[in-house]
Amino acid sequence: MASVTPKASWFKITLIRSGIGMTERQNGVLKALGLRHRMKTVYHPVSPDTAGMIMKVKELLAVSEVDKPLTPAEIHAKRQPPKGYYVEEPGALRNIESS
Amino acid sequence: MLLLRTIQRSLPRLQATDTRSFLKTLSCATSRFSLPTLSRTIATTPHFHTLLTPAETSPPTSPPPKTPPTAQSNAAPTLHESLTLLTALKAQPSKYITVKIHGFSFLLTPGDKVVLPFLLKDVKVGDILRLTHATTLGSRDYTMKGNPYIDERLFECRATFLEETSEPLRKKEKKKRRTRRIKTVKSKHRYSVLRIKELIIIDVPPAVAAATGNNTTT
Repeated sequence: MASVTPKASWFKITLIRSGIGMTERQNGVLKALGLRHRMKTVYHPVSPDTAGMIMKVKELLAVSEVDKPLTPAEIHAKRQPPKGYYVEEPGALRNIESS
Repeated sequence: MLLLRTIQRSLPRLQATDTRSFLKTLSCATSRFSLPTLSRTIATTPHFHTLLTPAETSPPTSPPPKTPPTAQSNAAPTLHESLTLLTALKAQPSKYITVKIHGFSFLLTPGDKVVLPFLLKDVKVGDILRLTHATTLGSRDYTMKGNPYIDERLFECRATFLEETSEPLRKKEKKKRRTRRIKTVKSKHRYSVLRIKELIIIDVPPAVAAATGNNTTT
Protein backbone atom coordinates (compact mmCIF):
# COMPACT_ATOMS: atom_id res chain seq x y z
CA MET A 1 0.00 0.00 0.00
CA ALA A 2 1.73 3.13 -1.23
CA SER A 3 1.49 5.98 1.28
CA VAL A 4 0.56 9.25 -0.38
CA THR A 5 2.52 12.10 1.14
CA PRO A 6 0.71 15.44 0.86
CA LYS A 7 2.41 17.71 -1.65
CA ALA A 8 4.44 20.33 0.22
CA SER A 9 2.94 23.52 -1.14
CA TRP A 10 4.39 26.26 1.02
CA PHE A 11 7.80 27.85 1.28
CA LYS A 12 8.99 28.51 4.81
CA ILE A 13 11.40 31.42 4.42
CA THR A 14 13.61 32.76 7.23
CA LEU A 15 15.91 35.76 6.86
CA ILE A 16 19.27 34.59 8.13
CA ARG A 17 21.51 37.39 6.84
CA SER A 18 20.51 41.01 7.23
CA GLY A 19 19.62 43.23 4.30
CA ILE A 20 21.85 46.06 5.54
CA GLY A 21 24.37 46.89 2.87
CA MET A 22 22.48 44.98 0.21
CA THR A 23 21.33 46.66 -2.99
CA GLU A 24 18.04 48.54 -3.31
CA ARG A 25 16.70 45.79 -5.51
CA GLN A 26 17.51 43.07 -2.96
CA ASN A 27 16.01 45.08 -0.12
CA GLY A 28 12.95 45.60 -2.30
CA VAL A 29 12.62 41.85 -2.70
CA LEU A 30 12.92 41.36 1.07
CA LYS A 31 10.18 43.93 1.58
CA ALA A 32 8.00 42.14 -0.96
CA LEU A 33 8.54 38.85 0.84
CA GLY A 34 7.65 40.50 4.15
CA LEU A 35 11.03 39.95 5.76
CA ARG A 36 11.42 43.01 7.97
CA HIS A 37 14.26 41.86 10.21
CA ARG A 38 16.69 39.02 10.72
CA MET A 39 15.30 35.66 11.90
CA LYS A 40 11.80 36.58 10.76
CA THR A 41 9.91 33.64 9.25
CA VAL A 42 7.26 33.98 6.57
CA TYR A 43 5.21 31.45 4.62
CA HIS A 44 4.50 31.87 0.92
CA PRO A 45 2.68 29.50 -1.42
CA VAL A 46 4.89 27.66 -3.87
CA SER A 47 4.71 29.42 -7.24
CA PRO A 48 7.14 30.56 -9.94
CA ASP A 49 6.78 34.18 -8.70
CA THR A 50 7.82 33.33 -5.14
CA ALA A 51 10.55 31.06 -6.42
CA GLY A 52 11.95 33.93 -8.50
CA MET A 53 11.95 36.26 -5.50
CA ILE A 54 13.77 33.69 -3.42
CA MET A 55 16.38 33.24 -6.15
CA LYS A 56 17.09 36.98 -6.11
CA VAL A 57 18.04 36.95 -2.41
CA LYS A 58 18.85 33.29 -1.91
CA GLU A 59 22.15 34.02 -0.10
CA LEU A 60 20.29 35.75 2.72
CA LEU A 61 17.59 33.14 3.30
CA ALA A 62 16.97 29.72 4.74
CA VAL A 63 14.18 28.06 2.78
CA SER A 64 12.29 24.82 3.26
CA GLU A 65 9.07 23.32 1.91
CA VAL A 66 6.23 22.61 4.30
CA ASP A 67 2.63 21.41 4.04
CA LYS A 68 0.95 23.86 6.31
CA PRO A 69 1.75 27.50 6.98
CA LEU A 70 1.85 28.80 10.53
CA THR A 71 0.18 32.06 11.49
CA PRO A 72 2.35 34.80 13.03
CA ALA A 73 0.70 34.07 16.38
CA GLU A 74 1.65 30.40 16.10
CA ILE A 75 5.23 31.27 15.16
CA HIS A 76 5.45 33.56 18.18
CA ALA A 77 3.99 30.93 20.49
CA LYS A 78 6.58 28.38 19.33
CA ARG A 79 9.37 30.76 20.24
CA GLN A 80 8.20 31.34 23.80
CA PRO A 81 9.82 29.35 26.62
CA PRO A 82 7.44 27.35 28.81
CA LYS A 83 5.82 29.33 31.62
CA GLY A 84 7.19 26.95 34.23
CA TYR A 85 4.25 27.18 36.64
CA TYR A 86 0.51 26.89 36.95
CA VAL A 87 -1.93 28.13 39.56
CA GLU A 88 -2.76 25.09 41.66
CA GLU A 89 -4.96 26.74 44.23
CA PRO A 90 -6.46 30.19 43.76
CA GLY A 91 -6.11 32.38 46.81
CA ALA A 92 -8.91 33.88 48.88
CA LEU A 93 -8.25 37.34 47.47
CA ARG A 94 -9.53 36.28 44.05
CA ASN A 95 -13.11 36.26 45.37
CA ILE A 96 -12.88 39.83 46.56
CA GLU A 97 -13.88 42.02 43.64
CA SER A 98 -12.03 45.29 43.88
CA SER A 99 -14.36 48.09 42.83
CA MET B 1 64.28 36.86 68.11
CA LEU B 2 61.39 36.05 70.43
CA LEU B 3 59.21 38.58 68.61
CA LEU B 4 60.01 36.92 65.27
CA ARG B 5 59.12 33.49 66.69
CA THR B 6 55.75 34.73 67.95
CA ILE B 7 55.02 36.29 64.55
CA GLN B 8 55.90 33.04 62.79
CA ARG B 9 53.68 31.04 65.14
CA SER B 10 50.75 33.40 64.64
CA LEU B 11 50.96 33.50 60.83
CA PRO B 12 49.61 29.96 60.10
CA ARG B 13 46.69 30.68 62.42
CA LEU B 14 45.84 33.84 60.50
CA GLN B 15 45.88 31.93 57.21
CA ALA B 16 43.53 29.30 58.62
CA THR B 17 40.89 31.88 59.49
CA ASP B 18 40.28 32.77 55.84
CA THR B 19 36.49 32.56 55.83
CA ARG B 20 35.90 30.57 52.63
CA SER B 21 38.32 27.76 53.43
CA PHE B 22 37.02 27.72 56.99
CA LEU B 23 33.48 27.21 55.74
CA LYS B 24 34.60 24.38 53.48
CA THR B 25 36.43 22.61 56.29
CA LEU B 26 33.42 23.09 58.54
CA SER B 27 31.09 21.58 55.96
CA CYS B 28 33.39 18.61 55.46
CA ALA B 29 33.35 17.94 59.18
CA THR B 30 29.62 18.14 59.77
CA SER B 31 27.07 15.95 58.04
CA ARG B 32 24.20 18.43 58.15
CA PHE B 33 24.72 22.10 57.59
CA SER B 34 22.76 24.83 55.92
CA LEU B 35 24.44 26.73 53.14
CA PRO B 36 24.93 30.42 53.88
CA THR B 37 22.98 32.74 51.62
CA LEU B 38 25.91 33.61 49.35
CA SER B 39 26.77 29.99 48.70
CA ARG B 40 23.28 29.30 47.43
CA THR B 41 24.51 30.52 44.08
CA ILE B 42 26.72 27.42 43.80
CA ALA B 43 24.67 25.19 41.58
CA THR B 44 26.55 21.93 41.98
CA THR B 45 28.18 20.45 45.05
CA PRO B 46 31.77 21.65 44.53
CA HIS B 47 34.60 19.36 45.42
CA PHE B 48 32.79 17.00 47.73
CA HIS B 49 32.68 14.42 44.98
CA THR B 50 36.31 13.66 45.74
CA LEU B 51 35.25 12.53 49.21
CA LEU B 52 32.62 10.15 47.94
CA THR B 53 33.18 6.64 46.66
CA PRO B 54 32.46 6.13 42.95
CA ALA B 55 29.27 4.24 43.78
CA GLU B 56 27.73 7.25 45.51
CA THR B 57 28.45 9.86 42.87
CA SER B 58 25.52 11.50 41.11
CA PRO B 59 24.38 9.94 37.87
CA PRO B 60 24.81 12.25 34.88
CA THR B 61 21.92 10.54 33.12
CA SER B 62 18.65 12.03 31.98
CA PRO B 63 15.52 11.38 34.04
CA PRO B 64 14.28 7.78 34.07
CA PRO B 65 12.04 6.55 31.24
CA LYS B 66 8.32 7.13 31.67
CA THR B 67 7.48 3.42 31.50
CA PRO B 68 9.39 0.77 33.43
CA PRO B 69 11.78 -1.30 31.30
CA THR B 70 9.80 -3.92 29.46
CA ALA B 71 12.73 -6.22 28.62
CA GLN B 72 11.78 -8.91 31.17
CA SER B 73 8.14 -9.91 30.96
CA ASN B 74 8.14 -12.81 33.44
CA ALA B 75 10.49 -11.33 36.06
CA ALA B 76 9.43 -8.32 38.13
CA PRO B 77 10.45 -5.20 36.19
CA THR B 78 13.47 -3.56 37.83
CA LEU B 79 13.59 0.11 38.61
CA HIS B 80 15.88 2.36 36.59
CA GLU B 81 19.17 2.96 38.39
CA SER B 82 18.50 6.69 38.62
CA LEU B 83 15.45 5.99 40.77
CA THR B 84 17.49 4.16 43.43
CA LEU B 85 19.75 7.19 43.76
CA LEU B 86 16.67 9.37 43.91
CA THR B 87 15.76 7.56 47.12
CA ALA B 88 19.13 8.56 48.52
CA LEU B 89 18.54 12.15 47.38
CA LYS B 90 15.16 12.13 49.06
CA ALA B 91 16.74 11.01 52.34
CA GLN B 92 19.09 14.00 52.43
CA PRO B 93 18.27 16.67 54.99
CA SER B 94 18.41 19.71 52.70
CA LYS B 95 17.69 19.92 49.01
CA TYR B 96 17.56 22.54 46.28
CA ILE B 97 15.87 22.83 42.93
CA THR B 98 16.72 24.91 39.87
CA VAL B 99 13.48 26.00 38.32
CA LYS B 100 12.82 27.88 35.08
CA ILE B 101 10.06 30.49 35.06
CA HIS B 102 9.53 32.15 31.67
CA GLY B 103 12.99 30.96 30.67
CA PHE B 104 14.70 32.47 33.74
CA SER B 105 16.52 30.09 36.10
CA PHE B 106 16.17 30.27 39.85
CA LEU B 107 17.96 28.14 42.41
CA LEU B 108 15.47 27.58 45.21
CA THR B 109 15.31 25.98 48.64
CA PRO B 110 12.15 25.54 50.72
CA GLY B 111 11.55 28.71 52.71
CA ASP B 112 13.14 31.05 50.18
CA LYS B 113 11.58 34.37 49.34
CA VAL B 114 12.12 34.90 45.61
CA VAL B 115 11.78 38.32 44.03
CA LEU B 116 11.15 37.66 40.34
CA PRO B 117 12.44 40.45 38.07
CA PHE B 118 9.06 40.55 36.33
CA LEU B 119 5.36 40.52 37.17
CA LEU B 120 3.24 37.39 36.79
CA LYS B 121 0.10 38.92 35.39
CA ASP B 122 -2.15 35.85 35.55
CA VAL B 123 -1.53 35.28 39.26
CA LYS B 124 -3.11 37.04 42.22
CA VAL B 125 -1.79 37.50 45.75
CA GLY B 126 -2.48 34.43 47.86
CA ASP B 127 -2.48 31.95 44.98
CA ILE B 128 -0.48 28.76 45.31
CA LEU B 129 1.70 28.02 42.33
CA ARG B 130 3.06 24.69 41.29
CA LEU B 131 6.48 25.01 39.67
CA THR B 132 6.83 22.45 36.92
CA HIS B 133 9.99 22.98 34.90
CA ALA B 134 13.06 21.95 36.88
CA THR B 135 16.51 21.64 35.36
CA THR B 136 18.32 20.41 38.47
CA LEU B 137 17.31 18.69 41.67
CA GLY B 138 20.09 18.35 44.18
CA SER B 139 21.48 18.18 47.63
CA ARG B 140 24.86 18.12 49.30
CA ASP B 141 25.87 14.76 47.84
CA TYR B 142 23.60 14.18 44.85
CA THR B 143 22.54 16.12 41.81
CA MET B 144 19.90 15.13 39.32
CA LYS B 145 20.02 16.91 36.00
CA GLY B 146 17.15 17.16 33.59
CA ASN B 147 17.42 16.78 29.85
CA PRO B 148 16.41 19.55 29.45
CA TYR B 149 13.84 19.25 32.26
CA ILE B 150 13.26 16.70 35.01
CA ASP B 151 10.10 14.60 34.76
CA GLU B 152 7.31 16.48 36.53
CA ARG B 153 6.12 13.40 38.34
CA LEU B 154 9.34 13.11 40.33
CA PHE B 155 8.95 16.24 42.42
CA GLU B 156 6.42 18.66 43.81
CA CYS B 157 7.46 22.24 44.26
CA ARG B 158 4.91 24.72 45.52
CA ALA B 159 5.18 28.44 46.04
CA THR B 160 2.87 31.06 47.46
CA PHE B 161 2.42 34.32 45.64
CA LEU B 162 3.25 36.85 48.35
CA GLU B 163 3.08 40.26 46.75
CA GLU B 164 3.11 42.40 43.64
CA THR B 165 5.61 45.11 44.25
CA SER B 166 7.78 47.55 42.37
CA GLU B 167 11.23 49.06 42.66
CA PRO B 168 11.73 52.62 43.89
CA LEU B 169 11.29 55.21 41.13
CA ARG B 170 14.54 55.86 39.36
CA LYS B 171 15.21 58.62 36.87
CA LYS B 172 17.83 58.56 34.17
CA GLU B 173 18.94 61.88 32.70
CA LYS B 174 20.04 61.77 29.11
CA LYS B 175 21.93 64.72 27.71
CA LYS B 176 24.07 65.21 24.64
CA ARG B 177 27.21 67.29 24.70
CA ARG B 178 27.08 71.00 23.79
CA THR B 179 23.29 70.94 24.11
CA ARG B 180 21.17 72.23 26.96
CA ARG B 181 18.24 69.92 26.48
CA ILE B 182 18.00 67.20 29.17
CA LYS B 183 15.71 64.26 28.65
CA THR B 184 14.50 62.46 31.79
CA VAL B 185 13.44 58.84 31.60
CA LYS B 186 11.51 57.31 34.53
CA SER B 187 11.64 53.63 35.46
CA LYS B 188 9.62 51.77 38.03
CA HIS B 189 9.69 48.08 37.24
CA ARG B 190 7.11 45.72 38.70
CA TYR B 191 8.18 42.57 40.51
CA SER B 192 6.48 39.47 41.89
CA VAL B 193 7.49 37.93 45.19
CA LEU B 194 7.08 34.22 45.87
CA ARG B 195 7.70 32.15 48.98
CA ILE B 196 8.75 28.59 48.30
CA LYS B 197 6.44 26.50 50.44
CA GLU B 198 7.75 23.01 49.92
CA LEU B 199 9.94 20.77 47.84
CA ILE B 200 8.89 17.13 47.85
CA ILE B 201 10.80 14.48 45.94
CA ILE B 202 8.77 11.47 44.84
CA ASP B 203 11.32 8.72 44.54
CA VAL B 204 9.02 6.11 43.03
CA PRO B 205 6.28 7.47 40.75
CA PRO B 206 2.91 5.78 41.44
CA ALA B 207 2.74 4.12 38.00
CA VAL B 208 6.12 2.46 38.44
CA ALA B 209 5.31 1.40 41.99
CA ALA B 210 2.10 -0.25 40.82
CA ALA B 211 3.89 -2.04 37.96
CA THR B 212 6.73 -3.38 40.07
CA GLY B 213 4.58 -4.06 43.10
CA ASN B 214 7.32 -2.66 45.36
CA ASN B 215 6.52 -1.08 48.64
CA THR B 216 8.68 1.91 49.34
CA THR B 217 9.37 2.46 52.97
CA THR B 218 10.69 6.01 52.70
